[in-house]
Amino acid sequence: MAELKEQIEQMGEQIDAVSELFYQQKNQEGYTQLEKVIVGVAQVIETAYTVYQGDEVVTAKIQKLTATLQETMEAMEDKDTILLADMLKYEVLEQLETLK
Amino acid sequence: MNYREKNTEALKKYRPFLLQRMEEWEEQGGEPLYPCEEIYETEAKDGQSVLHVVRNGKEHRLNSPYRPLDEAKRWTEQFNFKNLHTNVILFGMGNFLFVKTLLSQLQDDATLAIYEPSISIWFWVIEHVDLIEVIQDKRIYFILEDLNKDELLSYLNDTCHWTSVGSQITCHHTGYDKLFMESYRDELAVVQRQMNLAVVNRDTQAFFSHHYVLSSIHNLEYLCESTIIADYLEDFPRDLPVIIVSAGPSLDKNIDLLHEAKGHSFILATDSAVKFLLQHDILPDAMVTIDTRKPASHISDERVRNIPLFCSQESANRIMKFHTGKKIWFKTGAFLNALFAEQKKSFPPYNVGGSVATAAFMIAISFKAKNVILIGQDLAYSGGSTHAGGTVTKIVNEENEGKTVEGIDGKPIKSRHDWLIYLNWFEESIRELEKANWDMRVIDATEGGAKIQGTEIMTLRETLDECCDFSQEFDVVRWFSDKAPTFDYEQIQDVIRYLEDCKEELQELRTMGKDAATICDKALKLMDSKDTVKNESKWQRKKQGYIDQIMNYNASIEKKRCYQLIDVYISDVASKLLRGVFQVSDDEEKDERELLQNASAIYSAVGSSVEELLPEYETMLEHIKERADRKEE
Repeated sequence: MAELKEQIEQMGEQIDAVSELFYQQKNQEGYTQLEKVIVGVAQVIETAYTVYQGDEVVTAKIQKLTATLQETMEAMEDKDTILLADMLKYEVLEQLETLK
Repeated sequence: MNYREKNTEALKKYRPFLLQRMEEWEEQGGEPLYPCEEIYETEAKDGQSVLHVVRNGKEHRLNSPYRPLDEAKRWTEQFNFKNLHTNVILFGMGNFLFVKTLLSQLQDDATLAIYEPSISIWFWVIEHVDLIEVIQDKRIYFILEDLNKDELLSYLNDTCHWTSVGSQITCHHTGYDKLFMESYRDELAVVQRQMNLAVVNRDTQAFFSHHYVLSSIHNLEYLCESTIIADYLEDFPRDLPVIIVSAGPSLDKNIDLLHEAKGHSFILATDSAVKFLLQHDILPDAMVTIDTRKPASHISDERVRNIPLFCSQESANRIMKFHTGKKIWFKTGAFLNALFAEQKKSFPPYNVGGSVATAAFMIAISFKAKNVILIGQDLAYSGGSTHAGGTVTKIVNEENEGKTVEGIDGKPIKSRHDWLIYLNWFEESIRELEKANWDMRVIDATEGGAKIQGTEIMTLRETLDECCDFSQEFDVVRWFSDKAPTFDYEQIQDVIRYLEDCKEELQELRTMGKDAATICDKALKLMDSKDTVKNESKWQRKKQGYIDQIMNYNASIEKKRCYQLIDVYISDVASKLLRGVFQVSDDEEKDERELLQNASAIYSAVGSSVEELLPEYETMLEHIKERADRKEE
């Protein structure tokens, strides 16, 4: 649990930093950092599954987060960096916070 | 009152010329340069407006769909607004959310140029957004590509000084780089070019500074016999066509026709074109020279020694020395301007444009000639040639700075960056003449080269047949040469007294420069002792005392009339020391220390430059007195 909380807090900082890069049109750097964020979120999801196995509420949250990640990836494929930054900051991060 | 009405009222009051251009554009049924199929707004999750633009079938969203205001704030956080005299160039206005967020960060001495490529977006914003505060804000420059695109260059000329290049911010509204890619690329190129030019000008001035000042001093001895352009303006026969001969490669095509034009026109040659005219046994009626480092070979033929010469304060002294005919000052620098003003003599208010051809054009405009004819004004390559006679003259970075422009025949032609500056200057000048309803035709009879918008394109043959009165002859050389010198004997004695007073000022400057440098060094020493000081407030008072003395010296030095010459002379030193002068760091003490160190070096340079220049100045005084005595005889 403590490990999950720490992971989520770290993700919070990284997501904030990546969003800022995109808001400031520093897209190349943003995409480089985004890779780490995606890997990090995947690890959080994995940890959450392990910790909360069988918990229906948490499982639902994880499913929602996975769907949000999917939408975020669509924004990335569309090269809509502002929507990408918004989704990371206001959807992915908020949903991660609920897993703490 | 709706937004359109309120904004229009504000424009009428604070930006009447912009409003006029908008209304003219609408009345003439203008077509946007970059049409947009649709412009509309939606609401973000936080209730703020989100602007959408559909162009070429693709939709572009220009704000965050979640929190546009936060997005704008995060975007501005990347810039440093602490520096002095920050100039911001923003490509794209959007719905003004970015603009308003920027403005809230900018200091009072900053400027913000908003370059908008889409007039459709501008009209949409006028209808839907409250712009009153923005319109009133004097820090803002509105540059709309469809209406007043040329003002970008004016803005950059005014603000892009090498001291401010370090604190300049060039940025774009999110999404605009993709939405108006071509315009964005062009705008960036213009800005970058001006910034490079500012740095080049700094380096050029620093490089040429000594020559400039030495020429300026030594040329003063010719004041006794010379005239100024104002002496001729009232009587110039306006019907006489002025043919400005430049040295572009197309000059080879029609130069011989000037034999026919002689006596029936005013043939005004740039210094570079003189040798080509002489190769064809054509004597110009007058020549123009401005460049302080022009080689003497340009005007060294006996045949032109007595042809009237339009010159400026900094014209190459070796050329001025060789020339014995009538010298006509058409342009002065700050120092000579003050001298003439003291004698109640003035010059037309014009911008000579930076090249000898643009200067010649300004001379023709001053004379209010009805027909101004350009030949040899290619402003483009002809094959590989840059000048007449198949000459090729290369410039720095030429390979990377080429651009294709429209030729006089409508086909693309290759030009280069310095010619493009002059091309733009000609076009802007002609536009100003049209706006002012001047009775003047500008005919481009170059028969080649870049198309200069606003000129009539004709052959030289057609032009001469139309504009020259072959039934009469007019001796232009005599007309200019016979004019009495501007200063009579009594006036030249006043001028000499003025110059002698300036010599005393130079001597005072030498002393003040050295004394001010000493005070700076004392202040620095005091700052070094800060950590060991016992009485902090006494230390502060002493420091402030030094700073007050330095400010007083500064004010006194700048008041000296000849300081203008010293300022240019030391620009090679100043350019290194003042780089980044407006950039403010977080360490106030470090900034203060650096300022004092630089100030000490500059004041020392003032003192030592006067030491170097005084003997030259004294020589000039001797010569002018000799010439004045000969005048009396």
